[in-house]
Amino acid sequence: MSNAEEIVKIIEEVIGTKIHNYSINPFNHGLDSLGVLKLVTIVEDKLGIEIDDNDLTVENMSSVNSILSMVNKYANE
Amino acid sequence: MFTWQQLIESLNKYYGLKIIDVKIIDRLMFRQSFLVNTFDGNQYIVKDYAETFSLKELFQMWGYYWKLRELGISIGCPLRRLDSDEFHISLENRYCVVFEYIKGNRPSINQYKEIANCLKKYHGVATSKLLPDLISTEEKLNSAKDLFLNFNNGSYSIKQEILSCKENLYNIIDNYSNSNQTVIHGDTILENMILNDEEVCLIDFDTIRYGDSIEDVANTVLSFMYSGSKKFEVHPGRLQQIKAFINSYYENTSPTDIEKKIHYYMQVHCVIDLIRHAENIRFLIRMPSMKEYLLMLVRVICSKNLNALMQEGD
Repeated sequence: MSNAEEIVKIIEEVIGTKIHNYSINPFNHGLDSLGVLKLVTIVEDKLGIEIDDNDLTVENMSSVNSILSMVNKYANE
Repeated sequence: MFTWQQLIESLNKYYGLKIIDVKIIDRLMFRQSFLVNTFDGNQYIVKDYAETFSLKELFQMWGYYWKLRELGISIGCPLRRLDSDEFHISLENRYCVVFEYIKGNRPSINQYKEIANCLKKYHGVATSKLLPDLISTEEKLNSAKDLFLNFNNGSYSIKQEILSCKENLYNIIDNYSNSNQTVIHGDTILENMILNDEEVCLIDFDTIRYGDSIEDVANTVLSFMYSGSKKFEVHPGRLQQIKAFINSYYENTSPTDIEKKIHYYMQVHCVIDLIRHAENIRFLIRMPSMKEYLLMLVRVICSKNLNALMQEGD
């Protein structure tokens, strides 16, 4: 499973909804503040990375694509 | 997350508010509150709640504001929709509620008399008969030991510090005796008070429960101790204002051992607040200032008495 697939699977688990379109805003599909913290902590554990809390912004969380871009920045370091 | 345009259109459609502008006034991670200015010169606060909250409990809580107003309490009430008796609208999986805005600033600890008067007046009317079905402090404490076990799970910073308060926390729970005659506010920190025209008003009744009014007094005392400190450190020099506040609340007829009781109920409050974070501690610990706040709760739970707690700040 690729990193992107892994991350999308985690997002699906956190919001409890299957994702068919990466441009959707997860906040409109059940993601909340606690969900964001769960999401990034589980992603960190799975990928062995450490995401700076300053990157947990509305912009970086505004679509599945933007979450993938933000995480990939760390995964490719 | 809904857009401002959606919010402005919905406030007009469902509440008849013609909006000039909207400002974010409070942001806790991704949850926001807004200050709304309307063309008729009024101001309102829009609060949003996740849809995971029980709508039945929220409806009861929003209705409670109006009951308090009928009983003479100065309070900013939630508006009802034009098309129904409901208070809320649903926007993108969030409940939004519009509250009347109370102008003013947060009171300082030197306004302890006004703060004491506010709490006295509120507790004077807030009997448990006002709300038929509410969780109590006792019920929260009954589940606290089981919930505390969640702190053992996973790896997170300050795990050892939290686990170290287990024995004290259990003792506090075991020593609690049922006293649930009042609908306590449950979060009477200075941030939840507004000084308006020399009168202090309470806001944010999201944590109401049946309990003993002294819990709210103790909670305010705790707020006096750390207010203004970003790291939730105790200010030792505030003991005088704290004692003056307690005397003012009890009108100089304080019950026996009042400081001992205040300290105990402060610990009760800290147990309930600590336990609230147990199930998701690994994630919540990342919230800004959360670590410092939880360590403060642990310090209070482990403290011997009010004076010793105040001296820890030295």
